[in-house]
Amino acid sequence: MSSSTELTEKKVFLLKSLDGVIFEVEESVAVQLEVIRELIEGDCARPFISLYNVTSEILALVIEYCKHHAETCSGGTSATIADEDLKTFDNEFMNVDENILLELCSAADYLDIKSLFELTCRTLASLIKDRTIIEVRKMFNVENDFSVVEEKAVRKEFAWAFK
Amino acid sequence: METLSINNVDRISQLPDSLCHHVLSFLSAADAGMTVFLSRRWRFLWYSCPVYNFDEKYFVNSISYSSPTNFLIFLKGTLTYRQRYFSYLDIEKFRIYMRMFYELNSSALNWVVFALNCKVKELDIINEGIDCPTIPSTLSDAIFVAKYITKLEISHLYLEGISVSVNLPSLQELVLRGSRISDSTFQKIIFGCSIVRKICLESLHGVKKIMISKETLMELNVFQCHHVEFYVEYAPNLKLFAYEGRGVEQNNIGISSLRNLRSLRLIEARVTDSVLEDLVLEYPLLEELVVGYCSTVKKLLIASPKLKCFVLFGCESLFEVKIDAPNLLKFEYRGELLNFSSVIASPQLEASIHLERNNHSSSTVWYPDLKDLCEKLQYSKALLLACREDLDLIIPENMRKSLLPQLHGLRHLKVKITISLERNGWKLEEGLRWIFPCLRTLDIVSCFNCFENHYEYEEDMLRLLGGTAALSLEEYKVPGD
Repeated sequence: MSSSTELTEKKVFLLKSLDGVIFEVEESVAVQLEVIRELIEGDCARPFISLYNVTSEILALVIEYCKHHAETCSGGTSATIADEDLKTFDNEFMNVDENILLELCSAADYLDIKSLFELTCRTLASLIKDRTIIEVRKMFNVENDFSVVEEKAVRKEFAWAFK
Repeated sequence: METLSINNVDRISQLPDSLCHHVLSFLSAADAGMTVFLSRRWRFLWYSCPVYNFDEKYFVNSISYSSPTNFLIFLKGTLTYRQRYFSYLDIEKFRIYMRMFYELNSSALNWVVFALNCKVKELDIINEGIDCPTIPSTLSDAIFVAKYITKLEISHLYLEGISVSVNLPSLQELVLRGSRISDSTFQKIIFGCSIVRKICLESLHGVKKIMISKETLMELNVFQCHHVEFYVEYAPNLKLFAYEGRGVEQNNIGISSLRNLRSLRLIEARVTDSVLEDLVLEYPLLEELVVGYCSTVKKLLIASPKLKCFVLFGCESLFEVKIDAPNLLKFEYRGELLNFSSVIASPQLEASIHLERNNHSSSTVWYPDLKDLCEKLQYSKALLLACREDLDLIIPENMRKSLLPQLHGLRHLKVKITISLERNGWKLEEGLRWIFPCLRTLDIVSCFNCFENHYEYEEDMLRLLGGTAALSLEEYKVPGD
């Protein structure tokens, strides 16, 4: 797909996850991780880059995401087809359980991948939307730690909702 | 996919505030606000959130139907709290949608001023009710001197005279929709947006003549503005210009000095031939062109080295089109058959032609014109022809001799018949293969008959047909006949 880089030697980078697994990625993938961009551009990315906040399970997913986006964008297809393709991929990619989604979201935040961050936040929001508080608590294992008095105070602020 | 080992951990509450805020920013206020009930961790996230989407729609109480009241209580509750405890935090985006208000509620609008004081960057004030209430001058005076606003949208509100001199030094995007505004107020606003890049004007009332002259402007959309004459005088950095008029009464538009234009869409616009000709010839960077229902256009001459996509439809007075666009990849035409005096396009061109044949166009005119059109497009990578009846695409036997030669350029053809298709399409197949003997694939689709067929032709056959095609008609036999 990326024929332009084939002329020169393809640059690869090694990313090391929290649990010590090393991933080899091409430059087109690595540059999407804004957090290491400076390291890459300053040629300080040897021998590998340690990403302390991301587990190998999540990093593998993040790389899959970046790879697909890099390939789709560099391919010869027109912008509208590429957009459609990315949309389908993104939808499919977000088909994970809530825990993985949260991990992906905070990884995207830490690695500074804007599009993935937006995607995961939007997906999280869609999970909260139209659900009751009890359902949301259950989904994300949030414990209700309000005292009776506190809960009363909150209810007062939202009096209109309980009419 | 393997799941994480520990499943019962409250991970969402471990996320940093900024991340939780971002999640909330995708929700309407009614949904986002309810998160204060989740737990202590979430107690104040809503009140410190930098993005608010206050939408009245979610506050409709099915029994008492007092949505404005509920909405206002909530708006007031949230922002009073914020003002008390988080007044040091800036607001990034503030959207307020009002639906049931008959007149603008001053307390709702006071909170817009609060947002302005919190250095709001994106401000949308949207009224979706029936009336077009007036924005009080105290509010408009505060909005139009807001230093930090980068995006402003005002919908269905009457912008009466603004008494201050407009100064929006950070504004990049301006959207005015369904609003009533006078010529002088409009000019005042445009003048005061010194770095605006994107302007969208839709269904404006009250304004008679719009003149835009803006060095920084890159995108301009004008939709359905009633009785408005529209002129772009100077916009050297404009990349996209889309104009959509309104029905029969077409307004005059004038465009000049747009040498960086990449995309031009003109729908129901009253442009004259020379305007359109010049316009297209003058813009060397144009990549996308859409011309539709421009009833004054008679002749369209396009010479555009970078043009990739051209869509043309419903121009009833049009009688000649000339396309010289060696990089054209997509061409779409809808309308009556017309004379394409020449078509120069990329060999990768995918053309789709939707023909309307009116009842009084006689066969002696229709078929030669059809053949002529096919000839111009035969070197496309793929061609789609759509018609009402299959007969419209089958050149009658008695005319074939006079319409030689056949066209050997086209390999892939798709045909859509909207009304009637006879004898399961074999007649149509024969007719199409007479026009294009070197086809490799042919698809015939008829929605009306629920018919869909795909034909493939072998290369040997192609060569044979290619060889015989130059011969006279009598020697040509329909395969399998």
